Amino acid sequence: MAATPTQDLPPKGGYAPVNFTRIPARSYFNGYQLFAGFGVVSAVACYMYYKTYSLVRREDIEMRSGRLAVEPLLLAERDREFLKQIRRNRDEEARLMANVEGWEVGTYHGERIYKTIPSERFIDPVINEYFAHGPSKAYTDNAFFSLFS
Amino acid sequence: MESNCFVLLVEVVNYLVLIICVLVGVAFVTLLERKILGYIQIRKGPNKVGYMGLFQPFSDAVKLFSKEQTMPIMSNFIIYYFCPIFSLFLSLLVWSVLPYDVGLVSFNMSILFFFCCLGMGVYSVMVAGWASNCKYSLLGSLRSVAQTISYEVSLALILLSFIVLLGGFSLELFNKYQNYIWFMFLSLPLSLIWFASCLAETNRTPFDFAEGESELVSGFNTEYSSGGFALIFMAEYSSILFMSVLFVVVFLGSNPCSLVFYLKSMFLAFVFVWVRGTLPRLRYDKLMYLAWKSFLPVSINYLFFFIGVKSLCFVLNL
Repeated sequence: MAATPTQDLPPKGGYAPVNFTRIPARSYFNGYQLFAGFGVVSAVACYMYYKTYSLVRREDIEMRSGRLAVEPLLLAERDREFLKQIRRNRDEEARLMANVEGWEVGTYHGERIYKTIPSERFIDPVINEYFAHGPSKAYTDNAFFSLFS
Repeated sequence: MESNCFVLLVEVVNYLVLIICVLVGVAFVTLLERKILGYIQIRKGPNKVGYMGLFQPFSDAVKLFSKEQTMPIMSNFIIYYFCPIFSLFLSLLVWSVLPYDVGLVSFNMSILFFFCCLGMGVYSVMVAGWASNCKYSLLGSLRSVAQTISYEVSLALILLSFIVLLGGFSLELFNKYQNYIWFMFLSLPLSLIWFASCLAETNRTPFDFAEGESELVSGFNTEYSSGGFALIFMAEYSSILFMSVLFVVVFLGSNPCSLVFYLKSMFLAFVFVWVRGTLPRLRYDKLMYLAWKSFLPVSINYLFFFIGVKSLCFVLNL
């Protein structure tokens, strides 16, 4: 049994009045200034985008020019290798069919392959003929590219 | 051919490592969210399980995956079961578009792929709600679908503006074009609209009608117990992480090969959670008005503005 129980009462004279008026946040810029700032930042950013676009365009042009400059070289290299391979095919055919009677290299039992075009014109061999004498892996590596593009 | 197979293997392994890191990140983002929400609400989040609650995700995972997987009798069980898997699949699939210099696939059309995944994500929510055969789920999922497709439009138009600026559909171009200044300075309102649309796409507060926690019982995932619920929320948090990473890629100067990129992404994920703890849910018609009457006109106007900027730059460079 405790002493007189203490109660949580308001202080003598009541509470002080509560200040419940609104205290709006302090604003440093008004709407017009903010919009002007937004405009300035956007304008500067647009200018920086212009610089970036110029740089990207210059780099693209340089890459394209380099590729275009090198392309005749690469095409010539490819053509040389192509002709060398065709020569190797012809030599291999000559070696294989040396003992067959009446076989002329580059014809089919003496008959021309392309009948309606003059015999001086060179037609590219089909891929099966081009890779006929090598390992089959060479054919399978290149078949998709040749046949479907 | 061997070199092609080897490159493919390297890319697949890189992608799997990325997915593993994303899943670990998803687990800890749940903890992050609970801690941040706790501190916003002047209390601590989970801090009992490990040191500062660090093992909470693991205990959550164990609880969820050891509970019974319910099967509502009147539901359409195959698609009910399949929807959370599908949404997690999409949320993880979309991570392959990240514009790393080496390693991951280098997409020519990352942006289009991202939109395809986003569009398909709508289906998973809709079908999950319908297949549960429960009116609360159906309502939640239909509201979420309407909201998602509305905000997808402004998302698409914002990205279209940047496609015009970049001249291509690849996310790697963002890296190239932001080396002098971030795109955020060029288009601050767009970045805010993008962020709000991302919140709407991932069904986060203030757009979380899919869950609608005090209106509907639990929205479209009312009927989902342990396994499906876990997958749905892993999909959602994975989308949140991806959207924060995408925001950094598009607006804050992307270069995934730098540490600052990930710090910025984490800051964005923090902002996602901060928004959840701070803002109330919008009324549904206000949400729709926001999408169609506020975001869409601004996006379209910025599209025209950027077309003008690009044309001007093109003309000046000739």
